Amino acid sequence: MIATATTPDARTALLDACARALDHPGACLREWKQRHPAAHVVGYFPTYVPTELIYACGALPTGLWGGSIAVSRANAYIQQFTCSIVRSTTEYALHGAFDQLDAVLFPPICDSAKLVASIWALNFSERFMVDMVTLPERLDSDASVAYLAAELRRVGATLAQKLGVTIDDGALACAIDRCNRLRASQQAFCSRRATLEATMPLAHAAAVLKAGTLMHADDYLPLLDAFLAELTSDARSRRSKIPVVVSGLACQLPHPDFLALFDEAGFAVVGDDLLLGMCGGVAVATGGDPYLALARAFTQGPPLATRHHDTIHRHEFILDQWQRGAARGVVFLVPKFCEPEWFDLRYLKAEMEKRGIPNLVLDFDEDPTGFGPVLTRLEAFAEILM
Amino acid sequence: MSPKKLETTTLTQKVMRDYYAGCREAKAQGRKVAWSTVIMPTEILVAADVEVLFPENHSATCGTKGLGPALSELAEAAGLSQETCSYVRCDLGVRMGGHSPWGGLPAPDIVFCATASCSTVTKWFEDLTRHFGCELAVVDMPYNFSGSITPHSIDYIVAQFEESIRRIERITGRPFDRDRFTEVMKLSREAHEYWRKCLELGATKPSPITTTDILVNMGPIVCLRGTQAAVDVYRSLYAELSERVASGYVAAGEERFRLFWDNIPFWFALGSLSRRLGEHGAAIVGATYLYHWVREVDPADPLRSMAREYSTAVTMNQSVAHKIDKLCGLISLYQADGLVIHSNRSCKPDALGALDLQRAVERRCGVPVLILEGDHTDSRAVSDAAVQTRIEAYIEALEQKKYGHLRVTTHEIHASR
Repeated sequence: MIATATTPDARTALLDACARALDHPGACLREWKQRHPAAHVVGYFPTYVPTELIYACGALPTGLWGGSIAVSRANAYIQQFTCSIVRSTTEYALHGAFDQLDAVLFPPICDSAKLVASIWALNFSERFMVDMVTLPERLDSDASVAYLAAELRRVGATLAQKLGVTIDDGALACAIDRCNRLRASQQAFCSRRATLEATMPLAHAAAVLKAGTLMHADDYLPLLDAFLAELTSDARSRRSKIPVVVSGLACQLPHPDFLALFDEAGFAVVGDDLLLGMCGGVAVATGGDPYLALARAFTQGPPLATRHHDTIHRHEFILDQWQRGAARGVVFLVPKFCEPEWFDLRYLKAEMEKRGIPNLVLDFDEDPTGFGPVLTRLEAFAEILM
Repeated sequence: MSPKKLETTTLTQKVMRDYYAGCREAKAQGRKVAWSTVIMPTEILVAADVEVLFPENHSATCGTKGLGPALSELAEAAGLSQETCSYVRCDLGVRMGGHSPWGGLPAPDIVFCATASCSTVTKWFEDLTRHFGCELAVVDMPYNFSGSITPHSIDYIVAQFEESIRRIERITGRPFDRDRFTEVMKLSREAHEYWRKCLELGATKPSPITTTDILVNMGPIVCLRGTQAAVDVYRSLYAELSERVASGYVAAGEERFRLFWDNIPFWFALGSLSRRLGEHGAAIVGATYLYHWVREVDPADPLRSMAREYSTAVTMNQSVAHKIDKLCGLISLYQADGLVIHSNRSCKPDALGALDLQRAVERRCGVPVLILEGDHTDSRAVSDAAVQTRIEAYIEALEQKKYGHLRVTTHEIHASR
């Protein structure tokens, strides 16, 4: 039995809360701080920073996603041949949008992210602490796990010292449990994507997952779980839609209006490695050394364009999604100036074409306009797949 | 008067020809051939008698011959975006049948990729393994965000060196000879020391060598570390430069302005850029790029010392704050009148931070800084007219700063006639 419907209340409550978190992040932060006057807020660049460390410090982790701001002041810091998220996020920082934060953690997602972290450290350290969770670039070695465990211990200690708190294994175990529950619910949400399409098109699904990086898990999880609990079968939803898999990088999502075009063009997104990148990690083991458990879980997650694994390959993950969702095609969403994704694209396209899988490449940035040609291309692709 | 050609350049050219011929011969004889990133302790491979080739060096050579656009177009036709590094596009262009000055590189049995220079190389070398069906050894060298390397980073890198040695033993079918490795490391240290001393002599004012001439002679320190040939080249270069300094030889004419260069050169315009600057009495006397090969390796503790040196020698793996400190030190050492930063769209890890670097150097060193937009091998990304205009405006700023007035150039006299 396929598909779904929920009572309007659970769906509306979830979407309203997520929309508010995404549209008014500053106001939401201020409210949260009013409710938790002694607590801290730690920003992080999406998406591989282990938020367990932040929760273990009693702080609110909040993702820094950039947005459709006109970049002008950031031009004095970052060249134009970089992806839009690093430029727009820097523009927001220069406007003081993150001055409420106590610290910002960067992951070394790619060369641009490493350098932007460094530029922020140079220019914004008086406003908030800037540090890097220097994740390993390769995920296929025991040495990577040992290294990352030590690095997480260093970051945890540095962050706790900055925030004036202590981070003990008990607090970290609680944080791990909280994030495991968050991840499990988000993955349940994603795994019911095919059945969700009737009530939750791609743009809404992306908003729900993105809001999960902005809201405190204790506020967010009850809303998401209530929605999941009320999902009921509804066999009508998928039949008129064309099932596709969407592939991209979780650190930068297209504008919601861009994502809404999938629905408009008649697609049901039945699988992806775009949204799963935000929540697709494995559960972190409990008991034992929590840092080692976090490190091990990171190396066991789904394949990522920006991490190397000798035997786990990204095209296999996409093909698996394609097969499970009985998809008819694959759409690649590539951020402009994203070197890792442009590299992967050549090989991923070849793997799809080797198997006769129709595919479409769309590039994007955070510009909220000019989506007409995108819709035309999506509609043309839909006609091919019909 | 045109500058004298360095006698050592003839030796360097012979050594590099022999090196490429030797690799080709080794492949023909069935010996193992590896490809490696340039920032990788290939002394390990040299000690195991594995021939090592460097696709970055090959792409740079293609760039010096002006092949970047044609090779890039072949790579783009094969599906690689123009938004990727042009070194990779040059390499793929050659693999797609494009022209190479060396006739391409012999196919590798294994590829080694260290991540200190960038994350791009990982994607590049993943593509190489798919293309050649060979093994890939990634040596992850974490970014030194705080400016200093952490103990767990060193342990991590050393563990991967040991893993690399085990891979080499498996590939060659021979146990790794640690005594031979020590000898190779001694040669490596000697070559590195001569290289460093050559750069120090190059910093003499007036300079006995132009940066272009040093670049022409840098093949062995990139490709032949751990060999006697590299030691011979840099011993010879050091002796020749010492003589030049002793005799008061000046490599770049009147040297009205001594400039320091940051980032990889415009490989396709080494000569023309020098001439263009030379018309204004300006010479590039030093470059950050050359210092990526200044390392102190310790034969007594080779793996740990290499972990430290290889992951910190390149500015790309260090914070912008660290790069600013390093640049300011070098500008002072070279008594430079200005800094030219190549905002290289093909090398984001070295190009990002340029605007902070410009502000910091102008403030701390009191010298004007010029940023040139460009690309290391794809000349299509460089506007010749924009470069010319920016250089002329920059020279005016240098004139005002150093001499307090504007000077009418030969070029302007001709233009006014």
